[in-house]
Amino acid sequence: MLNYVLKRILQAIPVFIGSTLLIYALVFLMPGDPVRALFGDKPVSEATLTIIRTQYHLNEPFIIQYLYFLKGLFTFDLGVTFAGREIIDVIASVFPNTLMLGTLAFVFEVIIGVGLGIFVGLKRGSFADSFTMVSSLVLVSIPPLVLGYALQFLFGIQLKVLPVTVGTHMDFLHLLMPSFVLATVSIATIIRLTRASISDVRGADFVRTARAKGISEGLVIRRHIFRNSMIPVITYLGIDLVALFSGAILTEQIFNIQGVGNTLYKYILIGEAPAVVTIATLFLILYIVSNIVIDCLYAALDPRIRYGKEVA
Amino acid sequence: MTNTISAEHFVAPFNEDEDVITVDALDETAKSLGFWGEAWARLKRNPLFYIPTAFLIVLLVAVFFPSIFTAIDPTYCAITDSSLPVGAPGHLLGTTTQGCDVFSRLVYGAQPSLQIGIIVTLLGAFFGVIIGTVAGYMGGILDAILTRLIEIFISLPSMLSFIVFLQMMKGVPGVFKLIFIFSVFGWMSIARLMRANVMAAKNQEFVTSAKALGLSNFGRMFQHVLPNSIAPVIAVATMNVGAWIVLEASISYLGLGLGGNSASWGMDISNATNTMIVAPGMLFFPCLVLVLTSLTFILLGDALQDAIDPKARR
Amino acid sequence: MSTLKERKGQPLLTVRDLDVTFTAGYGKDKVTVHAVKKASFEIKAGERVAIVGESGSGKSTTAHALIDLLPGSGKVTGGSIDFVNRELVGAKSKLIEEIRGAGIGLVPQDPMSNLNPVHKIGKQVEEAIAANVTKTGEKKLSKAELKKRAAVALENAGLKDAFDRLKQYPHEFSGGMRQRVLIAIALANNPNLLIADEPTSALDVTVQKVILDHLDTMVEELGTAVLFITHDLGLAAERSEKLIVMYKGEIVESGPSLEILKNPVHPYTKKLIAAAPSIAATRIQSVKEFHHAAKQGGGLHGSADRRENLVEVRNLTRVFDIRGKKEKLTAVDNVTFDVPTGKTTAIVGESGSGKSTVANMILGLLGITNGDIYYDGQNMKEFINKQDLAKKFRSHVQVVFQNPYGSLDPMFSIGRAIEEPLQIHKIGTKEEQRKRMLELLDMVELPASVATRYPNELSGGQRQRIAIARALTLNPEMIVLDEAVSALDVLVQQQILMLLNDLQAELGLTYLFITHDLAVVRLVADNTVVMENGKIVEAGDTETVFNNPVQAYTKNLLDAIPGRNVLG
Repeated sequence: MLNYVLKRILQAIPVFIGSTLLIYALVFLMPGDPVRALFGDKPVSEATLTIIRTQYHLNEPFIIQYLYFLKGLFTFDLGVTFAGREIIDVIASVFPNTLMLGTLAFVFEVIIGVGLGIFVGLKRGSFADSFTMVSSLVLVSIPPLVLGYALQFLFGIQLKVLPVTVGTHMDFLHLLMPSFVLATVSIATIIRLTRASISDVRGADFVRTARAKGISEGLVIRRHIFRNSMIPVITYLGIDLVALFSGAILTEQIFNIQGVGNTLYKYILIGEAPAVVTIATLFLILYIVSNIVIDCLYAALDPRIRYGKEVA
Repeated sequence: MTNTISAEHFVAPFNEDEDVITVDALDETAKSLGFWGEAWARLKRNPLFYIPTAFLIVLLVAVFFPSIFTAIDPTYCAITDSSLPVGAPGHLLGTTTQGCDVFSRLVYGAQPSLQIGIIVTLLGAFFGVIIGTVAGYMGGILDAILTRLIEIFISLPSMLSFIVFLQMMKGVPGVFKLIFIFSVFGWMSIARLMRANVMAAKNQEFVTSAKALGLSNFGRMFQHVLPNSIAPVIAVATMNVGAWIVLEASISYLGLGLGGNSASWGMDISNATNTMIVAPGMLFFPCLVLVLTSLTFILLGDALQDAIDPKARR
Repeated sequence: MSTLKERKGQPLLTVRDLDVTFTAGYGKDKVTVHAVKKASFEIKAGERVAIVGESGSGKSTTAHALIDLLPGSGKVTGGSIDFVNRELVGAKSKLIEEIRGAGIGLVPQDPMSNLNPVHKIGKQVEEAIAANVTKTGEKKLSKAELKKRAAVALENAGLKDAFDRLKQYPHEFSGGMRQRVLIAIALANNPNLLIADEPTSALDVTVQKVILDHLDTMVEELGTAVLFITHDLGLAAERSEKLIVMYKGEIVESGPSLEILKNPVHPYTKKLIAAAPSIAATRIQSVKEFHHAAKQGGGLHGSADRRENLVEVRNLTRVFDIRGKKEKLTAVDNVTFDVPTGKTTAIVGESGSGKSTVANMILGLLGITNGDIYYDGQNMKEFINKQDLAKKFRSHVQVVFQNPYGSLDPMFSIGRAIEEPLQIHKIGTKEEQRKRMLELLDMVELPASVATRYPNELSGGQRQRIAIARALTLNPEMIVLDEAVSALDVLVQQQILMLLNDLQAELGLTYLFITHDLAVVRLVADNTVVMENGKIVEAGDTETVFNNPVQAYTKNLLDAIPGRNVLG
């Protein structure tokens, strides 16, 4: 098990360097002079600009800038935006909103996705099964953009039962529509994955053997079908949860939520490179670390991996 | 040896004259189709194949011959004709607040959408298949490097990367910028799928058997491994077309897409959201077309998946 | 429960006119398969009965129908199953659950897939006990008692250190150990009837014998009736008093084992007995004559006369690195033997004996760690890396693999598959290649119409014929048959063996026959090499090895052939 964890961490190092370098390069290649832009139309001396540029290491070669950035990251000094705000404060102010939105979306995914997946997985071939499969395809083909406005129009404007946008009202009622929209992206995948997993395990030999032991059907489902078929589902949900917490630019934009996605979008448009890179990198780290955690969780759930055996 | 039959000894009735047992007989009347023939036969039987195909044909006609559907220039907007209702004379689906013909914009909007969707998918599939095949077939250090490369690109938040990239190339106009940027991030899922398929296929006995016959490494890869791994890619790629079209619309909605007054479903949705309360119809039609297009490719991909691997469903 | 023995001889299970059908597809494409047709039989308390049949005969379906465990769309559509005066057809699931485990136990076929990989062995045995104690009116057991009973059950099934074993996971067990666990589970509750569905066909013969012997002892002590499901007539006759022969869903013959074996009446039974390799005693002879002209001329360097030994293996060793471990695995250890030209040499051994590794090295598919292989007098090391000679070698030595479903590319039509070797070696025009292909189809006794078809449209036996035709395309000197008939049903297997034999007589082919199945070796091999743990245990001509084995391991192997001594 320890070997396995170490191996996964070693593999993650080049991925971390590659992806941060890539995002760093992209952001710093954005055109324009953000430092000059800070001052708008006001006249400013070259000397002042040079001081600010030195402060942000903007005069150094690209790779040195990147190393300075890594150094800051590992000493927990996230730096400040060009506008002078501590980046850590920015994150502290918007991340809770994204966290709430993401959590609620996750609840939708589990209840609708896993719930329906289990239901149709156990009733494979029935009318309910075919119906769910087709409607999940229809649902997945409605882009969040369209679904967002459709729900706003229907529940917000026509029926007037739900608030149209969120703004500063971060409560359950206001977040209901946006979190559902956010969840629909993965719901169809989760239904299909759960269904496939359940019906795979249902046909497994060891399930038949369990029945032959004379244990009750309920116990067969709970102890054998369930436990085994949830392993890939949990893995998928884990990775998806991280994606939800990394902010959803589109959904936050449609419903006017002051979350991570919205903030990143705003910063990109005004060229706030340090903030964009830092926030993006933090979520990259979150993504990479949780991937390792999930792989280890998988190993913990499936003893065949835990003991270093390959699973067919 | 005795020839007596005890009371317990049961024998089913049989006809001594007929040769009851023909070992391993071949049914010579059966039809022969092959892998792709069988897949095509299954596809033809699936009603969910015809509906999206019909809509796709309509879309393709709109791409190549938009003038068949409408004579109105989508970029000609007369402010005097602003916000006409559905069914107004000369304007089948009314006009936008700027006075542009809604129907004409929908028809002409098909062109950039399908261009982007199809070309990005083809490029993504092309590079994905190459990278996935090389990684899966060669294995070893090359596989380790390519797998890390795939992971690097997958770990980047895609929407963020697109926006940063678009911002970086702000000066470059048009469809080709979008195609380029989408393609940079459009190959990983196919590469992963292909790598897994190739790894499964290359260890099959028929590949070893070809090696024992003296077929070269590349010969085995192209003649046996690749044809046996590529089928699932077709279904996934088809579904991807819809995803890229939706992404183009979303990017245009955020104001980073095609720009100008060019006909684009995403832009139309973006423009219509401001007047959603007074003129919901203007929002409705581009949304409807976008959903139908997306659904078309998803249903088509699903039908292809069933045709290629019927076991996956039942 | 002590009454089990006292009841001996009384009717336990009575099956009358049992019908089972499977349906596939929907609407227009709906197909109904009648898997079991009007099957009737009876099992008395303490009796051992075997259902024998080939794949698709309905033998396993019959067994699963008894305890309502039919897979997928399978349904009992008629007849009755009476188990100790209780009707099981159409019974409520409550009653079925009550009978499973306590009344009827099941030992399934494949030990690798029948234990849940995520639960500990202990849990899987304990749940079987816990579910059944209350059925017999006993009180619920405490955790400690359950554990103790589970350990006893494992011990009874022949597993040592049972208490420690409870804490382990299935993947830490070998196949034989897992099968013991499954037997422990099935017998933990003293069922009246035990269904053993091909209980050992996934195991090596020696392990198989030990486990079956142990099972015999256990059921003898407990007085349990056993229903064996098997494809192996020898095993069935050896292990049961009564035989039921099934063919295409119907029972064609049933009665006392020995009587059926000695005096079969139904033509199918007769054929089956005649083909059973474990019962037949000598090498198949061919009536075909050798046409020397058909051979391709000369060896690698064009010398025309044939050497006595086509392949000479000298001190061959192969060492593998084990992933993540320091120690190495010596799969083949200092092996020396000859493959005489024009004869069949068999390498026999159980899994892990290194027999396939030897074959792969002779085929040039796997590198040699130490030692030499001489093909036609030439050291393989000297030519395998020279492109032209290596290619020539590849045309001389061909291979047929075990799995008839994996050895043909599903994307290639049969005709293309057979022509492929000619295309690789750029021999002949398109016309000539086609002509050769049709000639080869004829040689393996398949009609020309097969050429346009695809592998998945053919049966396992037919595919194996195609694989043989493909191996013959280039007029090879030698064919390596790596478990080439192991996956086939007895009758098809016999047919393929006869074909191989005829082809050898006609074309003067040299065969290297790799197999775990000693019974088959006797039918085809002139010489036999017995391997164990990478080493050669015994080698010599087949008659001598079989009739006068010197080594204890060879004797063990021979004794383990099921049904070898049934007829005395």
